[in-house]
Amino acid sequence: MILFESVSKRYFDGTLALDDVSLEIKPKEFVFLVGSSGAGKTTMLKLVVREELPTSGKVIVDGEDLTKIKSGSIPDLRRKVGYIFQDYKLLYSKTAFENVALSLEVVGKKESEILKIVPEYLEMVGLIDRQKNYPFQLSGGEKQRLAIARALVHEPKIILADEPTGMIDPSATWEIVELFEKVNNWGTTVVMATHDFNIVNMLKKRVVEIDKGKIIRDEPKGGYAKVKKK
Amino acid sequence: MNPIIKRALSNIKSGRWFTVASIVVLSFSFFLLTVFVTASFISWEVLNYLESRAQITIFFKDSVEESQILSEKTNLEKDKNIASVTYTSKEKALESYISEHKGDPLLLESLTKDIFPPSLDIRAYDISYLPKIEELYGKRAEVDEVVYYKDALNAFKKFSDIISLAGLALVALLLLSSVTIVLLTVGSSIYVRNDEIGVMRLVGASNWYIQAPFLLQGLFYGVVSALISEVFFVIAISFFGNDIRLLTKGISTVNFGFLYAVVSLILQVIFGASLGLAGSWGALRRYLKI
Repeated sequence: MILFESVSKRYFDGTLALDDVSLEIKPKEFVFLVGSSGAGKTTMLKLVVREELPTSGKVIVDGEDLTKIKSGSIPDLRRKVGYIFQDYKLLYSKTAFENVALSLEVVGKKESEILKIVPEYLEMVGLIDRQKNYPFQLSGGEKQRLAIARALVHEPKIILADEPTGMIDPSATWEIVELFEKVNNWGTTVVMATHDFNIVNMLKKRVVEIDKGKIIRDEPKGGYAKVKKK
Repeated sequence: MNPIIKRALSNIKSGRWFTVASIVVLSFSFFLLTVFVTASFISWEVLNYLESRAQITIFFKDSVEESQILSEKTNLEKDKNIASVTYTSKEKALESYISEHKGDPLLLESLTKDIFPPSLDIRAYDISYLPKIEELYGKRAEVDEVVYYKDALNAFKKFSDIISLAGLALVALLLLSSVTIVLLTVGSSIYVRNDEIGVMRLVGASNWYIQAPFLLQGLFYGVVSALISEVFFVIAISFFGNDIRLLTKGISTVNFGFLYAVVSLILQVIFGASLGLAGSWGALRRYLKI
């Protein structure tokens, strides 16, 4: 589903974010990317949605080499991937309903379909009663659930989550994690970059640890423990 | 409603003061442009008319025999550059003077044909040939005077050139400022919607989906301004049209009727739409990073 082949990424300011990284993530996998801030986790996620291009190496997503993809095909790629951010990236001038509807509008769904689909996803994330509320009227956990609904609504094959629990309280964290597990059980590949060792240790999923742009650990049912020992 | 149109309208509404400023400036520019194009067109038509009517008149001395003048006429008519030669005898000149001033007995008192010299009115196909005739006849003994209104014609030509040049310069300046104001207005909409654009990109919006509302926004400014300009132009014509007709009496020039209004409307809308799109396109190139 996602393949990194000897990928290096150096930014314009000279920072080496990734150094010869090779990694394969299979369909339906749940993978945690762990590592300290600036280790290269976010860069890996950005490469998957073609927000960035590798300096060298190949990134292949769902069979497509992103180093060769035409700019006109990038939107199609992004429709296969749902991206969730630590700071939610919600539109504060739009209601919860409108935030989710946006994902369907951009792919040309009819209004009647949008009116039918959006409530289903708001129901799934437990926000059906808040559909007319604006993001500033929602708690941190609710905002993140709304962001998840927006990412899921066009049924992506892959969910990328960049520190999705970084700004929410512990009780809301578990609601979010349960949502990701549910989505993964439906067959969606989930890649989550996180610092939250509780989640990683509890779920016992595949853990890929990055340090200074290199993969230093890749365990099928790992925990955050080795990072803690450092 | 189509989401692209919805977003374009939302851009227009949310930046309403920018919208008003843009439309005022664009309408004013289009109106001046239409006025200058019309003025240039009229002056060009008038100049053409004057050039086609330009003639040189050779007045002969009283002592010159009519047969000699008619022989000159025949010679001139053989010249391929000359369109027509008309002979006016002393008697004919007196007749036309009397008919022109028949209401003024004081002027006609003790008038005889002797005070009117015989003359030849010569018209050339090309106005530039007239000075050659002036040169040819000006110094001849039998000729009393050669009259040629070259100064008036040159002055009008100069005036017409100035109108065209000044109009062109003004139009260029107005066009530049019009494109700039559309560019800045659409640019400010792009800036305000930066977060939304970022999210749209990440959820898979195509470049067209992101860009189209901004292009429509510029198109709207251009077309609405063209319509407003046309309304003011029609009002101006209804006020000043008769004066212009009076000034250009006898000259086949612009007919400020329904057809002219329709043609100027169509041209302004096409021009406004192109200018609006050009401004939006510039804003997309400058402010939108996709």
